[in-house]
Amino acid sequence: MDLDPDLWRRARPLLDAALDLPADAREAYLDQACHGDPALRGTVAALVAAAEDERPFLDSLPRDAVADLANLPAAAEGDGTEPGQKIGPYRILRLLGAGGMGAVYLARRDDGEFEQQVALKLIRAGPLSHETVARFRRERQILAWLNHPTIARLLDGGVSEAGPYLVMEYVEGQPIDQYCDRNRLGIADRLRVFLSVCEAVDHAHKALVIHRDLKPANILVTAAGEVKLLDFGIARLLDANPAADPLTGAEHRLLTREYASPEQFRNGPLTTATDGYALGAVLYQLLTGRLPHDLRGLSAAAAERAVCDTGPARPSTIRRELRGDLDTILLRALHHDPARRYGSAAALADDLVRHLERRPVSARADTLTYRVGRFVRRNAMSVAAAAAILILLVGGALATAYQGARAQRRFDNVRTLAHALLFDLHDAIRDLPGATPAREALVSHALDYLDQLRADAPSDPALQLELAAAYDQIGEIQGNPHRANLGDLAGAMTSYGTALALREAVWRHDSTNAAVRHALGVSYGHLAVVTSWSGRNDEAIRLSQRGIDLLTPLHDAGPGAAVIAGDLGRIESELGWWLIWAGQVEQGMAWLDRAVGRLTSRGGPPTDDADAGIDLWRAYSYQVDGYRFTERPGPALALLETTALPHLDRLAERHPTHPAIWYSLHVCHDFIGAMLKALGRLDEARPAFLESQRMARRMVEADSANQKAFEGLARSHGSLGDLAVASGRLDAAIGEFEAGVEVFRKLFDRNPRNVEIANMLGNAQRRVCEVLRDGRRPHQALDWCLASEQVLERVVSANTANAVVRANLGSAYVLTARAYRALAATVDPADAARFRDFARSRYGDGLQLLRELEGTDAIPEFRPDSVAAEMASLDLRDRPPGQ
Amino acid sequence: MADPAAATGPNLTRLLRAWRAGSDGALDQLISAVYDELGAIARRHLGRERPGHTLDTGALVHEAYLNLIDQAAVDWQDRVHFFAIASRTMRRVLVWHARKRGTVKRDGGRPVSLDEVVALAAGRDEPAIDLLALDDALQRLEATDPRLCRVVECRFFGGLGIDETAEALGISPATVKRDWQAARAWLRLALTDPA
Repeated sequence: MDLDPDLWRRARPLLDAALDLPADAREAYLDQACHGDPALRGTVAALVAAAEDERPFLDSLPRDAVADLANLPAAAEGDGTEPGQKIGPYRILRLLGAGGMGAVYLARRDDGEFEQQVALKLIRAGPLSHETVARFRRERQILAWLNHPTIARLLDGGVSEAGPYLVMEYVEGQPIDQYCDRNRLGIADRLRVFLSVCEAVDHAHKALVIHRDLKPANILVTAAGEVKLLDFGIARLLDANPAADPLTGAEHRLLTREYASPEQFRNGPLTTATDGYALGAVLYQLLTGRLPHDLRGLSAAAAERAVCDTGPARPSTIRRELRGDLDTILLRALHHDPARRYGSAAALADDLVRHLERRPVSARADTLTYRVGRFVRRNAMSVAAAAAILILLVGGALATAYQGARAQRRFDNVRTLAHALLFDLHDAIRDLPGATPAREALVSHALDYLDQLRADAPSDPALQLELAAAYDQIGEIQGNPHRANLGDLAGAMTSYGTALALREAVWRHDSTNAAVRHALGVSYGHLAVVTSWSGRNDEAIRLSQRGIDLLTPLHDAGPGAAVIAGDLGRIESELGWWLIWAGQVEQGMAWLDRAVGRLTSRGGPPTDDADAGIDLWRAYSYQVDGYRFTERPGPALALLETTALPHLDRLAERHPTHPAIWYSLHVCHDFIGAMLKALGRLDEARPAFLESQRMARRMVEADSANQKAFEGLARSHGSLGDLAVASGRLDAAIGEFEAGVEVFRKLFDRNPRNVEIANMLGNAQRRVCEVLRDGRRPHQALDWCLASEQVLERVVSANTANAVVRANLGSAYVLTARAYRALAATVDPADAARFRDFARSRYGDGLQLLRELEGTDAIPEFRPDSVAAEMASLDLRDRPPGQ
Repeated sequence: MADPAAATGPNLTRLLRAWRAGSDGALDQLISAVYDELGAIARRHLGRERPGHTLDTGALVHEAYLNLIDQAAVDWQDRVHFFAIASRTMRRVLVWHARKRGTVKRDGGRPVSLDEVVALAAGRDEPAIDLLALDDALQRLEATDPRLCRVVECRFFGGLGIDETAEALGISPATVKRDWQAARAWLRLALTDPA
């Protein structure tokens, strides 16, 4: 009789305790411990009796069992199966190979029915583990699903005396890498062969099958040049719940680590993107002749670090002719973040075809497809879950269509539910610390419902507006920089953009409706904010002006005036700030004055409405920026200390748990510290920075999903580091900067497409680098330069359109060149020449980037001609003296 | 087909590390190597056939360890993992033999559905001799409390002492003692009381 698991869990501690007591004390103990629970008492008593039972039990193995050990058949050499032996109706011809699961033989069907040669996979006739048997069964199921000319087909399966076996199509061919090398294929021909591989993998993915162990040994090319994929033995059906499937848990991973993706090393969720990575690795090998990562001789931990923390060498550094598209395509395919790889094998193939046809490749463009895909895949949502939702949506829509008369009522019910989720429930939790993930789940559920409804009623304007409001909520959670958010700026852009498009459509049909006009104006304001944070300031200015134009005629119309004044003031203050950043300080300050006036027009600074209060603080902070920009720390400090901080303190008192107010206080104290430092009052600055850091810590502790909290923490480290530099405490400064970089680094890994974070990280790394260089530590300085370069390269490789990041990368290359140069001065002549070579190649890369940027709105730190001169001076020094 | 390199003499120390790194293929190769070695040692011992000498699995496991693992390159974690694997292998081997002995011999070439194979391998429909019943009970115990099952594997099948078990499972000797006591009690109830 087995114990009920729950009963056992309760009984176990009592059993341990009872056995620790002398035998005569146990009765009393059990009476007391199990008071009122006779079932528990009975169980513990029985267990105690069983434990005390003196009869031998599990003391030694049965003699015959041990004797069995001597009769073990040898497991090696494929179970000793000999050529000529029969397995079922098949006759073994020879051993093809042996692997973890068993041996594979060439065999022929022996009953005269077919003269076909087959590959027979025999499970080792030793002790079968449950895992092995289950895996065997899975392999058969999966293979039976797949029917494609480039995937080796499952023909039969059964069991013989030698064990269970699978029969597969026998493929006579060479691994793809050997095939390409032996036939001396050029790049274009290698790509054409590889395209068939993509096609096969794409077919499998569409059948919801992933391979998980793609490598050249599993990709054969026949003499006729046909590609065949083998060994779907470890594939996993995507429709199985990964969490519930013990077979795909940590202990059961199979991987050939040279081709394994970072998520396989880290035991993360495996998706079709995992195969995408392996495809990238195979292509990398085919084109460069090397693996993306040389893992020979590395320990498991070192291999994991190599794959997860460093990108592969840019292919063109191995073979120059890969420069350009193929560099970009391979780096995207091998991206450490699955969400940033190609969305499918077909997409990879598509880019390769474009490259072959000399058309622009998608990897270079910041495409809408990417953003939409990102939206679907946001966070850890697996392809499986996305597929499930898709099925749900399609199923739901169909069900609705069939329900006829009942449909309208269901429609209304769903709509009411979605509305309640979105507005009542969501607003109730919105400002609670730690609520970010819950908000996201809530809103995305509601959005699913609404999307379904939208498909049912595409022309219902009220529904369109409701849907737009839902997208606004999603956008806010994903990446509105003014609220607790998930840092997914690209996702926010998509959501806000969708909301705007929906409202525009309604507005086109009904341009007299004030409510629609209001909503549309606000929509422009939202989109402007995320656009600006994505680095496109001019576009943001244009969008916000459109928003202001829409709202201004409404602002003193009727009962909604206060709301409209608030919205207008908010957009105006943002516009003022962006103008300041664009160098039009006077104009910007004028907009800010107007905004502050509007936001305080109704009885002074607002405190009841936390959002309105924060909007006002933001306008103050932008004014501070205006003063800082024109180097007027005195008025800035006065504004902060006499107006802004008291306003925030009152707000915090009124709304003690509001995270955005904590954040505002954090920034305010940071500003005060910075102004004090600028005024030379260093001793007073430190407590201000520490207070600021305290606020950031408080936010991180309250909500570890809140990106702004981490941003704040990193900012505080940077401020304290700068202060330490100013006070001449170099080691303390380096410590602070490194801590800041660490925080940014984590943020960046989480949101590699957020340009703002990448810039902050790159800048923080460069700051460390500068401090180290000034402190005469060239080796460490170089390390940080390289790290900074790597981060920016990653961003650029996925987002070539962003001129600001590319300018920063150009600067990073120049700084690295200088670091190599500085290092060259400290080492042997032989090493020095090498370092100068490195410096030269970095100057070259930097120069190229900076030249490409001429005529864009980015203002690089270095001018191309001065970099060229610097590079030339390097060559001069290289020449032996006297020539 | 499968990686041909796998057929050539596996370096057990390397395999152990590969397994630690998450390679399930390495685990299968490890088990197959350990399995061969256990058989070889058992044959040697029984060949000597000294009266009064019973072959204990602990000695087997230790000898297999000395034979298989490169003593110069070994680190303590390798050792620990080896004992855990060897104990698990021993369980599989012994249960497999017990099952085979209890199995009615099947028609050599008859194609049987794979589900039947699975049922055969899992032994659900096989006669209960002690080891099989124990294995079944252990599977159920594992579902309730996996650590207890590991302790039984190490202590009973692997013949490891308290301290070695503690090392192999990364828990304290005191915990091993208590777990062993509790597991024995649980199994005794599970095996002696009629359902």
